[in-house]
Amino acid sequence: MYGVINKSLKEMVIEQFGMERWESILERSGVPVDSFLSMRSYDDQRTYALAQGCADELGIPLADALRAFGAHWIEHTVERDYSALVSAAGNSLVEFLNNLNALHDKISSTFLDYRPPTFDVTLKGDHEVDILYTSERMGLTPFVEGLMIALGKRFNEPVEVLSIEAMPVDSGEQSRFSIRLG
Amino acid sequence: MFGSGQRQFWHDLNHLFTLVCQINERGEIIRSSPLMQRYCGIDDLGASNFFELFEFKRPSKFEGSFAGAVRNQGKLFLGVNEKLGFAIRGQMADFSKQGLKGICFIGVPWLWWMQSNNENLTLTFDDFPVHDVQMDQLFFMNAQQVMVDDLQAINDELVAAKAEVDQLNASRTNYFRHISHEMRSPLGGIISALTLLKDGQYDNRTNELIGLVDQSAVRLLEVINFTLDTASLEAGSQAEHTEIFDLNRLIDDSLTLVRAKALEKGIELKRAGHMHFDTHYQGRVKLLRQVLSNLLSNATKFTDQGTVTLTVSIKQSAANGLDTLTFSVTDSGPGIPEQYLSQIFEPFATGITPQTQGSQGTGLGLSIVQRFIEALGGQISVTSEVGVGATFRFDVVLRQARAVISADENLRADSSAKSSLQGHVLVVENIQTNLLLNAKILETLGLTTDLAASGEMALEKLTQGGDAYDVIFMDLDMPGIDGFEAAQRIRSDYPSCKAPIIALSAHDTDEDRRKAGEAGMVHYMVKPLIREEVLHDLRAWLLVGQSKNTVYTPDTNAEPINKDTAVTDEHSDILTFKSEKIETLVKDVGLTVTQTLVSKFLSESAQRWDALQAAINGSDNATITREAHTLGSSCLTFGVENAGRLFRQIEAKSIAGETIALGELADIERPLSAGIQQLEVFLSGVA
Repeated sequence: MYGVINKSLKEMVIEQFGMERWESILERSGVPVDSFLSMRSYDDQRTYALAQGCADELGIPLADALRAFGAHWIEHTVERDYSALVSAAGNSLVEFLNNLNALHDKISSTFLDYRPPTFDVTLKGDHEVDILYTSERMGLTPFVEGLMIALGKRFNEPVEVLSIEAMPVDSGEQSRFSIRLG
Repeated sequence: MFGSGQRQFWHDLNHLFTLVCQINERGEIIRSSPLMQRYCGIDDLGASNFFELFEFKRPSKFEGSFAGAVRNQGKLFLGVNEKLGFAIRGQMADFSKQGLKGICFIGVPWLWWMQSNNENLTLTFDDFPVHDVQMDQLFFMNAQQVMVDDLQAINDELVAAKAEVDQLNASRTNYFRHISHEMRSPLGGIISALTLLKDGQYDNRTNELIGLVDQSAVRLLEVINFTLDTASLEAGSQAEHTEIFDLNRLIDDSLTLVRAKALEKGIELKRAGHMHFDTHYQGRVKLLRQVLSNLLSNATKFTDQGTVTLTVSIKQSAANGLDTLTFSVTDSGPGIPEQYLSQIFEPFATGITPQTQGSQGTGLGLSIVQRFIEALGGQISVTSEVGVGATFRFDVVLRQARAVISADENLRADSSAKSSLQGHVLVVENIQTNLLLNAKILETLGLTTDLAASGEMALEKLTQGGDAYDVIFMDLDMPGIDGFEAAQRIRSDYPSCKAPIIALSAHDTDEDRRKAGEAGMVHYMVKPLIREEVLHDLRAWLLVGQSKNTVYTPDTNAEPINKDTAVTDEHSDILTFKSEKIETLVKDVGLTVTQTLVSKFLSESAQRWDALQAAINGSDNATITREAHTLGSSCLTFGVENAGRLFRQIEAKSIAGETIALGELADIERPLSAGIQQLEVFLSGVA
C-alpha cells in the first residue's frame, strides 16, 4: 500500500492518543521506520502490522480499529489533501461512489503499481443502495464501512449500514454493503 | 438545418469533447455543446461571438478572428472569460466536409486556469471526456505536493533531531569539561606537591613510593587530558583554532621534549629529511604539536636501543600556497606484529602486542593522535616489522604563511639559553592549596611571590603599588571578580602596572584563551603548573632589563637564585651532590671529556676560592660577585648543588651591596668538599 495509508494511521493515533501510544504501537508492530512518504509503495504487511498493533495497544478488536481508521481517512486525509478531487467526483454519495472507479482508473494511469478496489453501486429504492466492494486485499471491509459512514457525513447524507454480506471469492475479499441514506 | 449524418457526427464530437462550438465566418457561435451553454449562458440560437467571448492566451499571436482560427488549426487554443470564471482549451478544426460549415472549436474546460481563478468551481468528472488527462494531472500534482510536504516534514524532524543531538552533545561536552576540570584541580595540587617532594632526600622506600604516586598521577592526568581533548575535538574548538607557526621550531621543540628520555635510555634521537625549513605555516599547531609529541614519546618508550628518527618532508605547491607535509617517526623498537596493527589506534589499546605487554601507559596516546590527525584533515598509517621497528607516517596539508616572528618569539629565542629567573610575582588564586603550591614552584625558580586569594585582593594589592610586580599569574576561575575581569581592570585602571598578566586555568579552551587575550592577558598556562614549563615560558618576560627587580645576569647553566638571601631556600641543606647532571653530561659529551672538565673545575675552584676569600677580605664587591657567580655556576653544572646554591646567595648579597662575612664563605667549605668528594666517587664508578 502507499505510504499515505500508513501516514494517515500514524496521524490518527497521535492525534487521538498521543505520541507515546504511537511509539508503543510501532514497537508492537515491529515496523522499523516511523516516517512514510505518501506516494511510495510499502509492503502491505506493514500496514496490517500497524493496524493490528493499534488494536492490541488500544485493547479493541481489529475491526473497530479499521472502522475508525476508515472514518479518519475520509475526514482528515482525503479532505485535507484531495478535497478538489472528491469535489470533482460528485455532489452526492452515490455520484461519488459511481465515479470512484473512474477516479481509481485515472490514478492507475499515473501510479503503475496501484491496486485499487472497485465499487459497484446498485440503487434499490429512493434511499437504499447496495454497494459491492471488491478488493484483492483481505480484511479491509471494516475500513470501507468507516469510510462510507464518513463520506455520508461529508455529503450530508447520513449512512445507516443495514447489512454487510461477505461474498464467496477465490481470492481477495468481496463484501456487499446494504446502506440507507438519511 | 442538420441532416441525420451531420447530427450523428455532432453527437460523436460531443462524446469525444465536452466543449464543441461551430463558428461562422463572422465569428458567431451557431451551435455549441451543453457544457458550453451551461457555463457561457448561450444556446444554439444565440449569436454570441466566439472570439469576443474569450480572450485567447494561445496561440501566441492569435488576433481573435475567423481567418486566424482557420490559419491556426492544429495549434493549442487557450481562452479565458474572466467574468464567467470559465476557460477553454482545445483546437480549431474544419469539419465542412462533414457538413459543419465555418470552423469548429473542439476541446475541454481548462481545468488549471479554473482551479486557480474560480473559487466556485463546480466541474465534475462528467465535464471531461474519459481520455482527457487533466484530472490525472490534478491528482498527480496533488500527490506531488503531498510528497513535497512529507519531505519537508521529515526534513523539519531531522533538523529538530539534529539540533537536539547537538544540544545533548554540547551538554555532554560541557559535562566532561566540567568534570575534567573538577578532577584536574585537585590533581594539580597532587602533582605540584609531588614536584616539590621529588626534590627532597628520602630513603629508598619513600622515593619508590613517591615515584609510584607520581607515575599514577601523571597517568591519571593523561586520561583526564584525553577526555578533555576528545570533548574539545567534538565541540570543534581545538579543530578550528589556527595560528601561524615556525615549522623548524615545532620540530625542534618536539624533539627536545623527548631528548632527555632518549639520553637516559642511551638511544639516538635523529632528525632526517629536510634539515631546515624557512617556511611558516598557518594551521592547527596545537594539534600537530601534540601528535608529534605523542608519536616521539611512544617511539622512545618502546625503543631500548638504536634510533628514533623524525623525518619531515614537504611537497610544495606554488599554485595555491598549500603544502603537503609528511611526517614520519621511525623507531628501532620491538615492532608490532601485523595482526595487531589495526587495533593500535583503538583507545586503551596498551600492551596489546606481546612486545609491548607490561608497558606503562593508558593506551590513549595513539587514539588521540589518530583523532587529531583526522581533525587536521590527514590520515595516519603504520608499518612495522617485528624485531626491526615501526614507522608511523602521516600527511597534512597546510597553508604557507608569511614569516612573522613576534617580539615574544624573538625574546624567547634570545633567552633560550637562559635558565634562571628573577622577579617579583603576584599569584592570584582562590584555592589556598594551589595558591601556596604555585607560589612554592615559582619560588624554586628564584622568584619572590606575593599572594592574593581573590580578584578583589589582587586589585587591592595593585592599589598599594601598581609597579611592584614583574609578572602576575591570574587564575581565571574565581568567585567574585574573576580572572578575566581582574585582568581587564588592571589593564584599564592601573596604568602604572606594566607587568604581563599570565592566565592560569584548569581549562584549556580556545574560548578561554580568546577571552583571556581580550582581557589583556599575554599568555595562558594550564594548571597544574610544571616547573620546567614555567621556567621556559617566563623567560620571555623575566630577562635582565625586563625586570625592575633583576640585578643579575644569569648565565647558561645557572640555577635559579633567590633575591632574598635569608636562608629561606628550602633546598639549601638538602643536596650535596646531584648525580643526574653529571649523568647527562657523560651522555652528552662522553666520559673522557667529562673527566677533563671536572678536573679543570677542581683545579680552578681552588684558585677561585682563594680569589673570593681575598675579595671578601678587601670588600671588593665586584670581584666577589664575579668569583661567587663563576664558582656557583660551576658547582651547579657538575651537580654540587648545595655549595652552588650557597655561592649564589653570596653573589646575590654582593649584588645587593651587602657586606659579605668570611664566615659565610667558611660555611660553604664543608658542603663543597663533600660534594666534590661524591662527584669524584661517582665518576670513578662510571669509569
